[in-house]
Amino acid sequence: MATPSWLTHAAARGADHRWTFGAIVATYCEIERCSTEDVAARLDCTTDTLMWISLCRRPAPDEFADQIQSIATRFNVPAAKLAAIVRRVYAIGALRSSDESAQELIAARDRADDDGEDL
Amino acid sequence: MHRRVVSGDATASVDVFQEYVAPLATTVAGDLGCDDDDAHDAAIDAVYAYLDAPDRYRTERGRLTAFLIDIAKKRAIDRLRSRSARSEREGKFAQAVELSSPAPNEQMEAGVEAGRIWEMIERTVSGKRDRRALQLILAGERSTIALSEALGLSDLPDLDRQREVKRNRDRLLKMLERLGGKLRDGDT
Repeated sequence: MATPSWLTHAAARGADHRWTFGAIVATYCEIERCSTEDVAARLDCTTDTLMWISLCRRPAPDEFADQIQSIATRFNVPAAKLAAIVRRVYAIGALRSSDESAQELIAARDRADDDGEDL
Repeated sequence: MHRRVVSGDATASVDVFQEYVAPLATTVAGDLGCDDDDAHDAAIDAVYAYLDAPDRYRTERGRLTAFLIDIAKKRAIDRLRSRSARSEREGKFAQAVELSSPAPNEQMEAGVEAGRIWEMIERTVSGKRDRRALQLILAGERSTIALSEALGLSDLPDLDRQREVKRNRDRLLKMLERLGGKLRDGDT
């Protein structure tokens, strides 16, 4: 996939939009005190691929497994590792407050259990 | 495309960016004559505005392209207006300074005021990097590269650097707001 000049800027702006995967990546970097290069390494992908992933919509709790799989397939990254990053962010969100993140985590777990997938 | 976005397809947003950012930027640059960076910023703004609230686009009112061009042009015009207002203000300010040099006592008062503000910053802000960045911000510097150098973030990858500079700039601006409040309250 070619890398356009605007990608870095668009991906960085994703952190300001809660619906994006970029917001998940930004929170994960903050929690783990790591860089996006580290996150890309954890996902076995390039930083360019991570930037494309950042433009995706974050997985909805009721379709967690399907949406993780869809992103993983499109960008050729391991679904389990992608799911682990999202879960980590949702879990910390749940610990920080008892807001919707808690429900997102619980719903995501329930959904993955229902699907019987190891995501 | 719109149907996929509304249905919550996790990767549809990527396709919107891929399909629309470049042509939107070309249209905005061509029609409004703005530079490449401004045109791309406006195009990215438009795509995010649509993806933030896709329900605002009504298919019966026209094509998605037209809807996005409309937003992108408005955003680009806002940027151009705000830039032109800023340079007009700066021009007027420079003219005023040239035409009416302040009286020596006014110069001294301004110097004392600036000294008080900086003294307060030095008391409140202990980090050298934060102080350097504040100096740049107060001088009107907006370049990510200049601020990242002051904040010691220049070694970060592009994406992290942009994000971290923005986060630190927002933090320092909030700090300045608080200091401004204290000064107004006479708490020096």
